Amino acid sequence: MRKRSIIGVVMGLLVFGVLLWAEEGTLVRSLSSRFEEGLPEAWEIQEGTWTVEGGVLTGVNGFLISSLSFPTDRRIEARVEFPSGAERAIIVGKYASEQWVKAFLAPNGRTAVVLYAAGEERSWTAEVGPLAEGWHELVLGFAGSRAVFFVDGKKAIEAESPAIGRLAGKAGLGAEGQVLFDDVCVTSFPQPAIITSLGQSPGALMAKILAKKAGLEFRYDPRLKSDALEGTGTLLIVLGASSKGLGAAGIDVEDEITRGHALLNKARELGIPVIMMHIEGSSRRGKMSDRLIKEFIPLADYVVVKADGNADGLFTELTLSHDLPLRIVEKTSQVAGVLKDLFGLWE
Amino acid sequence: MMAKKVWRMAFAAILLFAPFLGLAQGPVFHDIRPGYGVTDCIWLSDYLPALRGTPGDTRVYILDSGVPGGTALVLGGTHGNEIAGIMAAVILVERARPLKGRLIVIPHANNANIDYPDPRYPQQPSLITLQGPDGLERQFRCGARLTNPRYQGPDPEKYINPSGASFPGYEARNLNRCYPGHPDGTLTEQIAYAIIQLIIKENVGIVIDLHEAGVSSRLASTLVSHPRGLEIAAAAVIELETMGIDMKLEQSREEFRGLSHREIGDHTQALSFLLETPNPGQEGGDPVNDPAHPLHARVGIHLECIHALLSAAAQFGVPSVVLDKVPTLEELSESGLAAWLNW
Repeated sequence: MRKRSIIGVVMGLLVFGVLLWAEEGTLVRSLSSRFEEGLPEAWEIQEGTWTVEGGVLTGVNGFLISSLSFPTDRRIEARVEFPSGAERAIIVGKYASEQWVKAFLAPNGRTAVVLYAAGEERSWTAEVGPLAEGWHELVLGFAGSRAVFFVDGKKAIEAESPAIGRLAGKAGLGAEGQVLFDDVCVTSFPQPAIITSLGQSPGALMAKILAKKAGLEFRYDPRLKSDALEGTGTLLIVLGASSKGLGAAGIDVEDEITRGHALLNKARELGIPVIMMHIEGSSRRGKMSDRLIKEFIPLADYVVVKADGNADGLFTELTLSHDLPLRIVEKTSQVAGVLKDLFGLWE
Repeated sequence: MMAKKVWRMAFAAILLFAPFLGLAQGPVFHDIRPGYGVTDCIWLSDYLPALRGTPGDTRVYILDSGVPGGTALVLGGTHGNEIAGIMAAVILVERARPLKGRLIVIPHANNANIDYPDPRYPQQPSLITLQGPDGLERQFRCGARLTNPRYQGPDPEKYINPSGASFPGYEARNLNRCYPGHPDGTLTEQIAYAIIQLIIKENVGIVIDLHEAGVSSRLASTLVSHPRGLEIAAAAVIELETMGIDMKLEQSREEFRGLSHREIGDHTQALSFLLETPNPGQEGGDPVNDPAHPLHARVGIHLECIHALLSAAAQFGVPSVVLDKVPTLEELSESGLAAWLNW
């Protein structure tokens, strides 16, 4: 009798789990929309008017929610612009039935993070001063019970509540009045990372130093093989071909392309998200490096490039055409800050 | 009486111009005025007596803080036409004060190339004159990439260096193809051998070989590191970038036999690095006053790179060498090179 009731409870939990899963949608670790070709299917209009024109998403009085769900620890980034008449831009950080976390930004610089759970609302507010005209970069990140809201790279609000950590579900955008959005992405890059090179330039070693500086938990293996990916949270690939590095390793670009595809196939199989970086600037561009860039950038979940390495717009073009997020840094040393941000290591 | 005076003048002229005439067989002397940081001045021949009295012998300056730490060796003048490296080494001798560990500086690593006008760069001056206070002047020699052929037998058709690598014959006179050298080899191989012996005997931890390359050369603004020092070099490059100094990083390949960054790292305990700044003089331009790459700025880049490498090495557990009173790139840009020499 007792055994039957245990089985019953387990079955019930399973059914409940499946129902919950169905309601929350497929779980993924990244979603990116640059809105170059209309509104992607991954977004569902829940309320208001949402249109795409000229690569820009315009939202009016409503919400646009992802059809996909994301892990609890995640970050949502978007660029927003306030045309006249705009009231507030909203980043929906977590969204499930009857519970959510949203971040608000008004053109006058008033910001808020609002948590709604178990029928109760709690809010954190701050002011970042009146915003200049033009586009603004917003990031709402979650790490455990923390939610951190950044406006133009500066921390505006840090909220903490056990309820934040318990929430998962979907993500989205909201508009009060008319608000413009672009370059929206939701990512979840778990630790430990593993840093490898494709092209054997010293860029991977630089990434290792910067990852250490960022406080990231990681392993470093410039010649990583696909069978060593088990147990990895995030695969971090540094692109850059060096004839000296390839020579020292006794390999050529073709070998690296083969290894790269094996790594990426295995990462996909294991559900490991992939960040790709090119951080040595213009001096690490050229025939061999470009071959690797064109081959592998379309397979990334997130791309980081040093500005002068993208002087000809190659990374912009590749990421736009494949709807991928692109983070541009002026200096290689800024990559440490990018890693902190991407992995939720906010101070 | 008159005849005696003429003889005296002729003798003085011979002494002065002998190096340029190729008559001197001893080492060329330079106007280097050691500062208070220098605690000893020895000869490279102290590490290979066969070099004594030859044009390959050269001054070795020791700057010992007296405080336990590491030992670093800076080589200028491996190539006598790459003058920013020579001048950076001179500034270290005249200005640096070690606070920890020991710095060894050889401003003219191949002293046998300094009295040889480089036939590849006929426009390049053989002397550089710097103006100091009160109308004072100091002159510094500018030589060639290769050892003066007068000091070494005719070039072989093909040069097989001590590591067995093959080069065109003229490279037998290129110090940076002759490592690890040979005690009974050519003059250039003996210089390389003596430097290796110095590194071993003085327990040098870090060697930095200062070079220059043509402005459009792929080597310009490059830091080359032996694989053992690559992580230190990467940290240094990141640090330099924050200061606005962009250096490419390359690792030394197994095939680079005979080059300092490879052989010193392979044959001694030291971590070996090589720096290249962009020298317009190596492409027909003005090596001193070029507006885009003036000499003082290239010297500043060498000095900042040395500082960054020493700092990064210390962070990675290499016994540290800490230097004080070395001008920064900004200071050199503000007040020029002459202001940082002893007058």
